[in-house]
Amino acid sequence: MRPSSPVGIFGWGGYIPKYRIKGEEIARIWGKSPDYSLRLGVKEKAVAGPDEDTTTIAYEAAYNALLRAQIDPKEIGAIFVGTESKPYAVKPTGTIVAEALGATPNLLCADFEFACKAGTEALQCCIGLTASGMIKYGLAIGADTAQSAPNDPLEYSAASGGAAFIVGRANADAAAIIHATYTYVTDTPDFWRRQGQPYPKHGERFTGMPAYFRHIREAAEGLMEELGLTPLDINYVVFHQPNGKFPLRAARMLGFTIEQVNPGLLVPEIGNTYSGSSPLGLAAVLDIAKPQETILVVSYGSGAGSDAFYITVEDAIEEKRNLAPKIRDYIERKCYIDYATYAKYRGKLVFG
Amino acid sequence: MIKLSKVYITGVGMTRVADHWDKDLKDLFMEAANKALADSIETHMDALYIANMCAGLAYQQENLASMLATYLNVDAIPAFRIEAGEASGAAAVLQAYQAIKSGLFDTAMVVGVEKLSDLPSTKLTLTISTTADSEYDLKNGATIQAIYAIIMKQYMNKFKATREQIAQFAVQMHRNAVKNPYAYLRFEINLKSILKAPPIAEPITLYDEAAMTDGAAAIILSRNQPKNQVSVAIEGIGVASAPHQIGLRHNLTEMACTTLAAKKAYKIAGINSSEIDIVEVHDNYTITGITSIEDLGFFKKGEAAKAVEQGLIAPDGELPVNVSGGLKARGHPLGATGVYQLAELTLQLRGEALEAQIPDVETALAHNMAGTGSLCITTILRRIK
Repeated sequence: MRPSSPVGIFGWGGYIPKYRIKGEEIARIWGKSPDYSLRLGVKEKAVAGPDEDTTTIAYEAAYNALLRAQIDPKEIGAIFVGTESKPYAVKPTGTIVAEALGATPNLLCADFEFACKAGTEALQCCIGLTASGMIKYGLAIGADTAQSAPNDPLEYSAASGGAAFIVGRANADAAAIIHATYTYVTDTPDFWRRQGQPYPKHGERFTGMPAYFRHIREAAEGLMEELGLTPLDINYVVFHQPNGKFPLRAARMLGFTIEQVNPGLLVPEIGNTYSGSSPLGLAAVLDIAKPQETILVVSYGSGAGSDAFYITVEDAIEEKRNLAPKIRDYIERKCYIDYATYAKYRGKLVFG
Repeated sequence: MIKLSKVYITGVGMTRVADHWDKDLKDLFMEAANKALADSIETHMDALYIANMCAGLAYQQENLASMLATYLNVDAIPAFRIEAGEASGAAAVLQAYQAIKSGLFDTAMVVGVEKLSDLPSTKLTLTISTTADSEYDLKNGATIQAIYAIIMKQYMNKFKATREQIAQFAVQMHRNAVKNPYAYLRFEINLKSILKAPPIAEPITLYDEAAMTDGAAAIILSRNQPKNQVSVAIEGIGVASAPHQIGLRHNLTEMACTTLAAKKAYKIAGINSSEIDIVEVHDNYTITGITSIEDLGFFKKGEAAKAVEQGLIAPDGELPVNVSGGLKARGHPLGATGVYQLAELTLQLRGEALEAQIPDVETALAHNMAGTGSLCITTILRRIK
């Protein structure tokens, strides 16, 4: 899918809560080997505090994106929030973010859900709306306070965080240009959470080859083939990061090196932020990428699908980079908590 | 005196043991069955025997044989599902063998089929554990893994076997599987990775355990000797059970059912263990592989671990064991495993095992066991010149 006119990223920003719990601490509670989470490639994960939720994370990320875009929030014609941890089952997260940013009332607003790829789907919709000229700028956010059942392997990775992107028709102020996107979707039930259930369930090994790897591979190869690209043409590649092993294996399968993956690989230090995962990886790469460098982003959402994007970095990135905190700043700002505090903050203690 | 006919294996067909995400039980069944039919001189099947352990618990499908027969597109074929835990494969072959031997049928197809990859690990563990004694073992917390851990500990203490010697069995299985196109885990592993793998039930780690997943294997049995190919005949089948509850066993380091079933099979075939050229044993855990090759009479009690370390069970060793990769690395599709063993040995006897072929195989033995050693079926095959 190529937009009818080029679409640029004018602002990007991320947010990661400061609380961290080590995999070792989770393993201690459940009687697992201390290196259990290291085997999944996750050292520690970010935990939302008691006064944080997907809305506050989405707002923080969007605010940082706005700082870099330097536009009037009233020019934002759409705000879409991709998440699987909406604070309200019925009531949009996006309207709260829009009101807080000062973007209301003349804009489209909706929350998207497609497991971990809802954020990139929000981005695709913003690309379409801005390229067609229906709106001037679109704000796409992927954010989550990821749920995981106690003592589930997911508990070692499910984390909180998010990233936001302001896109519009490309001009000299664009920090990067999104040239094309490609989506691969099938009905693959590898991970799900039914209505009313507090925690998701997953199909264990089924989440690997027929789910994550198949969709990532098809979307990445589909896009590269459409654009006549090879891994050698790409400087950075960002995959969805459910754990530390899957993205590295996907990279090997597709012919990318660890050096192309590492700058956007955040999961070992912050965990899997679900809808925020690949968007945060992209934000981290934009924090350091130089003009004329190229980026391939491939998200993955269970259920299942992958969105791939081909992005080139433009000159304007240099003057925007330092206008807001970087992802690395948030990674390094941390405060360790024990399992009891984590259980309290994440609402895992059920009274009565 | 009535001379009972010989029973020949006239066709074999297998799917690769793998996570067949896009195939269900009937797809796997059809693939193996069609391959076996294409391989056999026989075009008419008098009966169908299905070996399967888990369909009821895992997929709410009992009466499996008639369900699968529907897809085989043969009219009114008698169809049976045989369940004897992980020994279902050999048990189904025994039923077909008896029917042909007795004159009831001239031909029969045996298909072992299992679909496990869709099961969450908790359900799979529970399903496997139902082959132990549900009332006395399982409900008291003794899972299959826990029982084999006790067996491994006892063996190590009693015979001064080292953990490394036992783990070497898995190293050899993986090495063998590389050459088997039907194997699940076709890659080598080293001792360190086995010892450092996540513990399941100390001292057993993840890599000591057979890899359980999907597969189907079919063999065609007939009273008619094939004219245009090397003939493989079933020379004897020995079966024995042992106390189901682990607490009733007198000796945990010997599987009495294996010892007895082997003796019976050797007697029926009129041979002794030294005449076996190649063997497929039921190595659901590395320790089971070790004790089985002792209980079958190939090594003295307590000496197999050292023999494994010395390479005596390698394809070029004194007694090639599990050239297929065994349950460990070829994979263990539970109820289908016994049929895989016989299909693979038939290819060896016919000289058609390609890269995995062992030279001059005349006599072969398959050892298929259920639960924690509560039932064993030992089958001896011979190439008929």
